[in-house]
Amino acid sequence: MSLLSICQWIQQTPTSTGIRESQWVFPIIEATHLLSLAVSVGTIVFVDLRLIGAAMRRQPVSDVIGQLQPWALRGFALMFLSGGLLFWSEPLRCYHSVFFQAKFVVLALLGINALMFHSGVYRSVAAWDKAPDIPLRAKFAGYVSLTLWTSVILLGRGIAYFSH
Amino acid sequence: MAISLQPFFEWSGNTWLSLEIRDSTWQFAILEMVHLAGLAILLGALVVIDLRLFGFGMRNMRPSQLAQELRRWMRIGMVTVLGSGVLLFFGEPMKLYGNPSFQVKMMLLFFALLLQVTLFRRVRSDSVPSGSAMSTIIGTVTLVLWFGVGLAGRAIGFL
Repeated sequence: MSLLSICQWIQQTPTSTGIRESQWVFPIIEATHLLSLAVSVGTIVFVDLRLIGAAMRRQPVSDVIGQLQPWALRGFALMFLSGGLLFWSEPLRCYHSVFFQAKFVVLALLGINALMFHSGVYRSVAAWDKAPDIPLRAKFAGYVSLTLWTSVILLGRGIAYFSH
Repeated sequence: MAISLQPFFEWSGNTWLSLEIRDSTWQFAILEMVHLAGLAILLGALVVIDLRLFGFGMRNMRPSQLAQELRRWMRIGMVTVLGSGVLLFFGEPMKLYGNPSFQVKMMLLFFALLLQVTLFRRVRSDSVPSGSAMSTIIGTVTLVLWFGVGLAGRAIGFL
């Protein structure tokens, strides 16, 4: 079974058609998706800004991460849920959209970046927790995250714009 | 006598700036993306500060300290959103004239900005004790207003 035939199958399910053709459900899901951006990406941006030394420089890095990351994760849960429903409602459009494909590659890279940060340089956080200027590798993870999340937003907007 | 804003919208649509944005395939799309990225920074900073006002998030900092530290980023987000927003307006003023979502958005924006320079200012000056009813009210109202601005903004394309 190819990816395309899976998308075709989803497209004709009653739930997919129902969301796609409803006057209110689709806009509401999209609005939820858009506003959970503030909670998810919005909070993770400030973790990243701490990493690169551009915000809350006097706060220990582990403090900023420990206190903001749970909120970012809650936001991401909402983001994935609403995003999953958006995909479910128009799988074929997503399948053919270069922006959708690129968005998923970037999301995967973000996952790898977060994994590498937490299993790598962050293990030695005790040594640099209170330094305004942190090790280059940790800073780098912040820059990568900022750049990639910005791309996710731009690509996400692009899905609605350039594919029909 | 009722004052109509229609001439202003018409004038906006005939400016060089408006023609420039309307004639380009990419400018409007790019502006909208910048608008969204600015929104993430502005609302992100707001969420971090409001969470603290509710007693969550950056609990090791005083709300005033946090608000002061993030002030720069709120400004950057605000300037980005307002700047790109004005340009977006020039891109399609006659479409926005009479659009109910746009009218609601401008009204909410007015109140959000008003609160920003009045009540929200008090958060920075330590006059709002953490965990007080006042801090909960400020947090709730600013969140509702700014998220309302975002929702109404999205609705412009729908209604």
